[in-house]
Amino acid sequence: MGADQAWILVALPAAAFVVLALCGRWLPRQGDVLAVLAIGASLVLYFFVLHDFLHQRDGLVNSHEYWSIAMHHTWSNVGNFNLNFGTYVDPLSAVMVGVVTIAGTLITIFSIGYMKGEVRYWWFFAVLMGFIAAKLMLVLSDNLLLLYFAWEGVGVCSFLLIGFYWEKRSAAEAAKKAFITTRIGDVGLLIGIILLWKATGTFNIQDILTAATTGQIGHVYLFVSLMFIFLGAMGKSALFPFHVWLPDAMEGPTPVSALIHAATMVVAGVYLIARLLPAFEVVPASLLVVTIVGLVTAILTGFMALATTDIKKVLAYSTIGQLGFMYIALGCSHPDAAIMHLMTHAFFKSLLFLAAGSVIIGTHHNQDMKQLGGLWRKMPITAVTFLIGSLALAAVPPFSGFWSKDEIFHGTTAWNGGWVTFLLGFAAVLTALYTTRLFVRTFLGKPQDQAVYDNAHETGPVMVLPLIILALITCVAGFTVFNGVGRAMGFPGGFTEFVFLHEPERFVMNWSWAAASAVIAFGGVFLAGWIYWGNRITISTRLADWQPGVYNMLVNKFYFDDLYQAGIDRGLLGFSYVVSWFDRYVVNDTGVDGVADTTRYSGSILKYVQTGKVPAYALGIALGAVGLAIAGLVVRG
Amino acid sequence: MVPLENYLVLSAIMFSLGVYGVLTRRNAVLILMSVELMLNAVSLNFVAFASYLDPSKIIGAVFAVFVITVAAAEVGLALAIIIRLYRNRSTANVDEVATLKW
Amino acid sequence: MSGWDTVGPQLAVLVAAGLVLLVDAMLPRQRQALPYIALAGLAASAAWTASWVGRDDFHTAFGGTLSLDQYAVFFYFVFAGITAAVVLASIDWVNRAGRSQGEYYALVLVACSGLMFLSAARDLITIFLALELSSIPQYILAGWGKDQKSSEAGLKYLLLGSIASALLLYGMALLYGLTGTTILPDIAQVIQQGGDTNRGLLVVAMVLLIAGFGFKMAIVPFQMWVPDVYQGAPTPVTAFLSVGSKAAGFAVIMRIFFEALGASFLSDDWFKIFAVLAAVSMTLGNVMAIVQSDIKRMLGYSSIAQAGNFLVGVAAIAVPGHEFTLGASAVLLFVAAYAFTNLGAFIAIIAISQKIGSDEIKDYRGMWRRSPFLALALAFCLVSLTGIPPTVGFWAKMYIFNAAIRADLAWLVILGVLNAAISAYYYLGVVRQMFLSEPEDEEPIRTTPPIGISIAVATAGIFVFGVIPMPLITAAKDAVQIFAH
Repeated sequence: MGADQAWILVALPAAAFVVLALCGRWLPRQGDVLAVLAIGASLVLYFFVLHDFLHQRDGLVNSHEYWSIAMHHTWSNVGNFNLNFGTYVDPLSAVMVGVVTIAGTLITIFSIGYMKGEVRYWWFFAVLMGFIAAKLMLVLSDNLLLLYFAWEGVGVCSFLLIGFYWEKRSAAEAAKKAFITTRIGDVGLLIGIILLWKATGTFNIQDILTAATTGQIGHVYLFVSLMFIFLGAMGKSALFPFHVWLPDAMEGPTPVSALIHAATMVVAGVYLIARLLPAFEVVPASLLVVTIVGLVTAILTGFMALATTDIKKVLAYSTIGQLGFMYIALGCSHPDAAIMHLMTHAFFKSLLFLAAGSVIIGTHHNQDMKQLGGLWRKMPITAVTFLIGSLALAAVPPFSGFWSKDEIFHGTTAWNGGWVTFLLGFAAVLTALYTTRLFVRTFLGKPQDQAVYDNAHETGPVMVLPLIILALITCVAGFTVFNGVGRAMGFPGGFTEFVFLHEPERFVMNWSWAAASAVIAFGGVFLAGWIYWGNRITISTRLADWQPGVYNMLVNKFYFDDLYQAGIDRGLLGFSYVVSWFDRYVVNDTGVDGVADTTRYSGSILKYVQTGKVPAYALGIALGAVGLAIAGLVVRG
Repeated sequence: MVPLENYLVLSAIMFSLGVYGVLTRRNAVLILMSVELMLNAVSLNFVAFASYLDPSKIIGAVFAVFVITVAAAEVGLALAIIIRLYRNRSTANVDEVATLKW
Repeated sequence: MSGWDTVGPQLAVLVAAGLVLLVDAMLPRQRQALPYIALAGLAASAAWTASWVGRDDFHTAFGGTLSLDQYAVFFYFVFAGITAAVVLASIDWVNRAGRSQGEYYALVLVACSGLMFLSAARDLITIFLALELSSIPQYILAGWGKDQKSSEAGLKYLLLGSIASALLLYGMALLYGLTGTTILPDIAQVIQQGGDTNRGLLVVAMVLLIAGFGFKMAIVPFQMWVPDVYQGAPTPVTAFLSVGSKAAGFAVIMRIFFEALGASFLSDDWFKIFAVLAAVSMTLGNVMAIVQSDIKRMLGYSSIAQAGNFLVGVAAIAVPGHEFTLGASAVLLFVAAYAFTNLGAFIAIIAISQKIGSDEIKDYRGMWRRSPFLALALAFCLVSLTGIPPTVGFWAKMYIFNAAIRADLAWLVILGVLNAAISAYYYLGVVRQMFLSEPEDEEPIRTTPPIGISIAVATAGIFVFGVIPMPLITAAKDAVQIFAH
């Protein structure tokens, strides 16, 4: 099987979806084996596709040429209404398919254990397969129309997954909210696609990019259409101000669907922008918008994560924040950094979500860190794996997050003035802060709720094993950035030589950059550890034990303690709460619900036009006719 | 000979009266009569046009005959429905026949 | 007088109507055969129509008043299919109502023949007669139910319908007075020769025609009867009204505006009128549909909004200097898609409301548990109405917006997309009630074979043409070739 049959990757889970949805209930084991087989086969076939792709690429004289394999099939061609559909395999989609199939396989296997005995077991697997099929179609599609289909398919499946426990009112509400919020973005995406199509007469992505880069589309027009498309990406990726749906979406079956949304679904937007990046480059203003939205999102969600105590919601905010990092990289024209961060993030965030799930199961459905603490003694394996995930998220070397975030830092030099780099550094400090806070308050210190602590236990091997696997991947995934590692795995070089925009970029270890970002990460970690370690032990004592040098510099420890406490309480945390409040009441209630309410309200007023009385209706007809006639004659002139 | 305009103006007046009746009357039968007035105005138009403008002088008259026939059928049906409604609710006032609204 | 073969499909339907009445009167024991006689008549009609597919010796008959062409053939198929679905969906309801079964089916068939005549008529008198031939049975059917609501619906439909007819006739009289003929192509010729001397009066005539047919098509501001009649009429009749008379309205208005008023100085005027009406209909229909609690009434408002979508296509035809047939074929595709989708939705509603005895959306809670088949079918139809792939509704919307973009109506398309988002809110609201809420009553709902079959056919059509839209698009393209001169 070669890369030109990549559609089979999509067809397998899609077929599994159809079979499971129609008769999954009556299959042996409710069909979970079928689901695992389908996605597993896709995973195996993916390696064939990848091998074939690399093989064909090696055959080229100049292996630095951007190489892709496209297949076209005609769908409809009537007059000027031409539709082709096909697959498009290039390094970008190859990496994305890899992430989706690997994560998909792990999630499906993990779900067998996690969903055991749940209601509608078969339905969960059916929707999961539908989700994966749509996602694979999205990244393999060679045209925007098919991509839009898949985009909507992903949306529908996620609606079904978030609302999986529809008996729970909050789950049903969250599902609706996610659907409506992302649909606002989807409308933008569709408008953007239509605009691009109108300008170029094609849905084919490569043709559109060619048209854009050769100046066949006016700059203002291109900018407007790209902004509409970016709106779609913002909705799907839960970027500010669309971020409201993701934390609520944590209502899905934990942590499985949470993981699906956090690690898989939301990155669809990153992929879309990366795919269309050459067009964005034509209008630098659009890149600036992407960068700014990414920065605002990264910083704001950092504060919100600091003010949240629900483990899963902290992880949800951190996901949005990391997506902000990816968009910043895209805004700097560095899809390599963005996609690499996407990949490492997918792994370490999966690890964190599954570990959080392990905590929740181990403490009998407790996910509020105010009631946890000291769990490392009870759940050592979970604690260690969670620590590895947290270190990767905080970008501490040598865990995978460090390498990809380092690449992003490197990329920000594309913007003059260093303000992007500076703000990104600030966001990175916040990331390290809340990550450490999360770990410290959950696993270290004294138990906050003795009953919870006493009943806590390590979870079984089905849950722990995936944690260990993911932890190992998290430790090593970052090294793919080195050329030698890539070559050893059969790739032409390091990650940045595989996925690139203009020309491959050889990875060079820049020690000053690495040192700077390591300092940022460590700084954040230590600051947070220092603040949060132990809930009753005074910070100063801890500091004295830990950092005598810093301790000696502080003459009045109580003064500093108070000041800091006040700073935390009134300053940082206060600001966080203001941001949360703003988010809750202004963005969410006014921005998102407000539009819906206005429409509803006008409907509830307008409906009284329909009085139900015949003369009134007759008057409507008469006035309508007279009005039209007058309008017709006036226009006539 | 009476000029065509006179017929047209007369027809327009009849039609407007019909519209006025439809809008102001509340009794279903009276509304129906007003509609008949509108239809008759149209028939007058057709006949007048036929005899003044149409070389064959026949199409408009045929149209008028059809209009009269169809109007008769509609009236028969409408009266049946009004009687049925009257039996149901003992009223033929269309303002009171307004349970379906909003 | 020759040409009887050109009205074969209508004759087959009318003969079936007569047979139904005869059997009902002579063999009262055989009443359960009535719907099948009606279906046989419709099948014969469709078979007759099918014998013309692919032929190109099309012609006019009866002194040029009726035309046999691809356009009419397309609509013959659509109307035969719609009527067959309505007959199938009516069986249970008519059996329970018990009385006058023969008359019911006969009226449905007569209305169907009227719709067929309407799509083939190219003469003002014939158009008027065909319109009344389809309308009068529909007035009776709307008032068919025993309850007050149904009588009210019948009365409203009839009174407002005759007012609309009067306006239409006034417009026809003006057109006749201005041109001295009632044959559409002859009218076009006279107008072309006269230039724009009588343009003012022509505009008035045009507006009156739009008002008269706008009533049938359910476009703002001639739409007010729609929700009331949809809610009050028996549901099978509502299904018939919502697709049959709307499709016929669009069929005839396109023929009139193409063949009689196609002169470029006129189409300049009406494309603006249609574009504005489309925008208003879409927006008002959708906004008012959001707050409805009765599903039939909600679909009434939604059908106003959908009429706005149809009109986008009509407006796109009219823009001068562009490929005429694209907009027209888009409207035809939309007609077919809408027929499948709305019929499927209404038949599912018939099956559900027969059991639960309510049309309130809140009573659809947890329908997924009570009848997964009906819930899924209804959800699928609503998804198609929203225009989400993989349904035929998506292609219809896509195609019609495509036509509008080609005609430089981008603003209308953007409005249409926004409206699609609004419509998702209430269409999917029903889906949410069915799938995400607990049922108050767990009792399963069983479907009878006729209803099951008709829903299965409708949803299969939505899906198959949603994946492979080409046959339908080609058929629509061929049907409008008559306008391509």
